[in-house]
Parts: sequence; C-alpha cells; structure tokens
Amino acid sequence: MKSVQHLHHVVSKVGADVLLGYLGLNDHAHAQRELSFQVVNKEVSVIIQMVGQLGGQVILSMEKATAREIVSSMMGGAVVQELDDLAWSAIQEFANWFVSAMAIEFSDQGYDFDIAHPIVNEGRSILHSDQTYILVPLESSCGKFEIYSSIKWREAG
Amino acid sequence: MAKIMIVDDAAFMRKVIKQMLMELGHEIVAEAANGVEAITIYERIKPDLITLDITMPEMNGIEVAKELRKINPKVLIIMCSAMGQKTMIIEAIQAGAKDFVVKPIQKDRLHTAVSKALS
Repeated sequence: MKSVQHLHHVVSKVGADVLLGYLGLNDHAHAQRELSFQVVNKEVSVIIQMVGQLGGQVILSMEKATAREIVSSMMGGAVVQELDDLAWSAIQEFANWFVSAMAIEFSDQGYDFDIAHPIVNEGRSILHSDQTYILVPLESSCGKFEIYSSIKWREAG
Repeated sequence: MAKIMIVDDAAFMRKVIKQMLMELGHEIVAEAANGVEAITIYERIKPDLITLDITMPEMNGIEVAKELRKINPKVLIIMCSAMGQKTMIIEAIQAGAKDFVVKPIQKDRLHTAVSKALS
C-alpha cells in the first residue's frame, strides 16, 4: 500500500480542485492524518465504492449545516432550508465529483478504477470495519468535512 | 432547437442539465434515470440528441451508447460524466459518443458540445 502521505496529498489536491475550482470555495486540508478501524459518521455521510486497479471505499462526512451550504453553492447560491430529495441528490453528486476527481488523479499515476453509485447515510453513527481508514479533515468556507479513505492498490504485474 | 433526452441517475444533474439546455433554446423531450429506461424511451421518442451519464445503476453509459448505436448508428450522444480520465474519454468516444463533457458541467462547454454534434 502506498504511503499515508501520498493519499493525504491526493485528497488535499482533490479537495482544492473540487471546493475551490468547482464551487469557488476556499479550503484548507488539515495536516492531521489518522489511521482508524472506525468511521465516525457526522449527520450526513456519503459512501462511494471503488473497483479496479485501485479498490476500496471513500466516505465524505459532514454536518447538515455544511451539507446545506454545499448544496446552496451547487445551486448558484439559492437558500437551502432543508435537505429534500433534490438536495440529497446534489450531495451524492458532490461526493461523486470528489471521488471522480480522485479517479482522474490516480489515473494519471497509472491506476484506473470505476466508482459505484453513491450511498447517503443520514444520522450520526459509527462504522466498524476490519479495513484501515485514513482520515483527512478538510475545512472550507462551507464548513468542515472529514474524508475517510480505505484504499488498496493492486500493483501492475 | 433540438429535441434532447437527458440520461442521468442523479435528479440534481438532470435538473441542472435541463435548465442549461432550455436556456440554450432546446426542448427536453424525455429524461431517464438509468440505462435500461433510456433505451426504452429512445426507441419510442427518437430524440435528436442524448446527454448520457456514465456511472449509473442497471447499465452504465458506455454500454447504453453501444446499444443505442445498434438501434441507430447515427445516434447523437454527448457523454456527461465526472469520471474524466483519459481512458474513460477514449472508451466513450469509441462507444459512439460525439463529445465528452466533464462534470461539473459548464454551460458554455455544453453549448459547444451540443452545437458541434448537431452541425
């Protein structure tokens, strides 16, 4: 498996690309990196599976206030009072942009993978796993995100 | 003005693309949330052009493009996906897409792709 620093670099770069490049939001990736067998989900979490030369799972977790701000940005600044069906779809799409941007980044490094349809979890929970997750916290003008990644590289034979 | 079908599993993206295309003067004649539905609707409506997502349940956009080409070898497809790796773009073009627009979609980019495909 590649280093934690390498994954942290990719997540940080993708965070900047998606938040600043796509939505015009300033962001900051915290240096903090944690290895964990647990994912502590905030009020909204989006789970995306990856399959291919690189496989695993990425989970974006945030509070509802942050989710509403993200949806608002995606809708051109419209006020979002509650997370309705369209807003949930937008949050899924946001996570899709994020993991797809990771896919482009890793593809440039020689690792191709497909992603599955995002799954949204509403409500706080703790996910227990036998896989190791790397946590990269991101902070933006919309609020804080936590990006949990559990990734396995399949070295080219 | 063209008659366009939007295929995307995300309701949010269907709304965004629909709004952009309508602002550009096109008519949205159908929407589909997955590939199987898209093929069924295409055979019935025969739109001028299709915007097609790649990552979808049931059947992905690449498979859908190949099936649509069997029905109509001249079908006009524009792939709209966040999965913008070079390999994916090449695969989409080989499957018959006229262009590939990477999400998040910029209105000008979509306009260029649609105009070029229809010309």
